[in-house]
Amino acid sequence: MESSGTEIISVKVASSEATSRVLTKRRSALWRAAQQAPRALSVISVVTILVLVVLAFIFAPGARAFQETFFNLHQLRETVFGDPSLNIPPIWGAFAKNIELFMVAEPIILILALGVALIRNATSPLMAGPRVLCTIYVDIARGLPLILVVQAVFFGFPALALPFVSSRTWFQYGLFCLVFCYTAYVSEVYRAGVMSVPNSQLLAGRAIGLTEGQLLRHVTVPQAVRVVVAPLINDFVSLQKDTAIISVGAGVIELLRQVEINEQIWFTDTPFVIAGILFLIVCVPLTRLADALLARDVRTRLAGGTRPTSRRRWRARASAEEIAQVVGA
Amino acid sequence: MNDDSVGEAQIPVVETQGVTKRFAERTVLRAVDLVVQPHEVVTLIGASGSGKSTLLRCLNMLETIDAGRISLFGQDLSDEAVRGELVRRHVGIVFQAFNLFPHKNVLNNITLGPVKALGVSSKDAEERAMSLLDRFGLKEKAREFPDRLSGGQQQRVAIVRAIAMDPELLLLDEVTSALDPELVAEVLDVVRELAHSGMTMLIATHEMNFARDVSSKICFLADGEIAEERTPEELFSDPRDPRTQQFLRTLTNAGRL
Ligand SMILES: Nc1ncnc2c1ncn2[C@@H]1O[C@H](COP(=O)(O)OP(=O)(O)OP(=O)(O)O)[C@@H](O)[C@H]1O
Ligand SMILES: [Mg+2]
Repeated sequence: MESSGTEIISVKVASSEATSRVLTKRRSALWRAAQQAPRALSVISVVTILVLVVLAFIFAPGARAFQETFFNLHQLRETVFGDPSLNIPPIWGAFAKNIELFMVAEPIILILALGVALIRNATSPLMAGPRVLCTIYVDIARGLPLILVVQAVFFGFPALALPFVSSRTWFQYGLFCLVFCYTAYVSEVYRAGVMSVPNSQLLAGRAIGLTEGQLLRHVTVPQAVRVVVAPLINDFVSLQKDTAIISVGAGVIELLRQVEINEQIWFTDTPFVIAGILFLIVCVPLTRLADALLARDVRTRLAGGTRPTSRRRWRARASAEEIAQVVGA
Repeated sequence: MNDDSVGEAQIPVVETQGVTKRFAERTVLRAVDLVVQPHEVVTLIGASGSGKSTLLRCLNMLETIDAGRISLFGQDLSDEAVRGELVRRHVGIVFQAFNLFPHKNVLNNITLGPVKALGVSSKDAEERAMSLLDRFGLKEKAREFPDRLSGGQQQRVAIVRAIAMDPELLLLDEVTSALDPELVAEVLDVVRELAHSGMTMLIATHEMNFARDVSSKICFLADGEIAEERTPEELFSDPRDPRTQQFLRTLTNAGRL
């Protein structure tokens, strides 16, 4: 009886081992499949969606008309390379204006925003006035749509008939609007960066005798920069696109203005498609860069900071023998 | 002891009188009187929240005090002319959570203070840092970033960072509390070595065995007061204050500290 019992048990054990081996095998096969599935799945789904979109454009009842207005090859060529007979300049000149606005505005914004951020973070009572002013400015500039600011500046500033303010060029008005709106956003990005540096880091810096200025330069800023770069690039992208809003103010013939003019000639949307493509060409690489930097930042943070991983305070304090020894002494 | 050394009045490294500290309504330190002589190792023990860390931070002006007087090396800190960063160039502190700079490698963590705050040339600072790292068995880690080190190694680097400033007083705030038990010994060995080399230290700790063999004097803090201040032998064999007795009894009963 006993022996058969053990036999049964051992058979059971053996069979369960076999089953588990089979299961493991099956599981590992499944596991491998599961590992590969997401990749295959994502390729399939991306391709499917793209194909569907293209098919929709080709076989839609209005496909022909759509192509005529949006992808008219003739107008496409004329818009890009210009046509002196229709008085259309090549598109580059207009797009260069957007790039120029962006390139001039961006450094100004980066510097002014740093000033605003430092003032808002200052704790000295002397800075109370400027601090309030900066807070009011940031609230207003972030709350107002750029398009309203453009309207106000392009029509309001000349109307004021002030000596300096009213006699600027359209380009300068455009620049002012972009700087006014974006400085507020960028200063908030800076502030978030500075606040992301833990207080313990400031204590550590002070502990080795650094002055507040040295602390900013060697401890706070280098750590804040890592956090700030990706969001800053996102703001660049948005700024680059928003240069188009300056067209509302007339005067400046930038890309959007130019394609609107072309559109008035043919009454088709092809010029707008060109504008869209040009913006994408500039903005997509920037977004990719921001993403890559963000991913890198997440990776370094996952790799571990300086904070201890465990705070086993009580356990770390003393062992029983240690206490016995101490108290017994 | 000859008559000379008795007659010569030593200037204490730390002398506090009636130091009181409040956080909002809460009084965290109550009239603390404490004297630390040159080359002494004084240990602060006491329950969590008794004010050990706060006391240490007041001494190097990372916190302000609400009443009382602190003098370091005979210099009154309440003097208008005394600036925090200047005091901290002479008084090192090591924190429980290491607080190494994550964006700098070990060597640069250590040389930042000497180069920027003391104006030592980078070459000299690096040489000195390397010899300190060597002394504490961390030479190969000089180019590593802090996140690649174990907790014990990070804390040893933090101690080296503090002593690279050549402080006349070193404050250690529970430097082993954030470490896994197996890493505690390597850090305590470093502190022991510093004690033997004559470094003046004020140490907040929960490592009783260590406190007993390294301290010239132990202060038991309870509710922001120094309840008892004795040599280690006296304190552990014959605690007088009921709160000290209670504290030591709790430790024994808990089987941990
Ligand atoms: N910045 C602060 N603001 C308000 N209260 C504080 C602050 N820092 C410390 N405290 C309070 O002061 C008291 C003493 O704190 P402290 O950190 O000095 O204690 P401790 O003896 O070092 O304790 P532990 O052993 O847990 O480190 C605690 O009750 C704490 O809550
Ligand atoms: Mg503490």
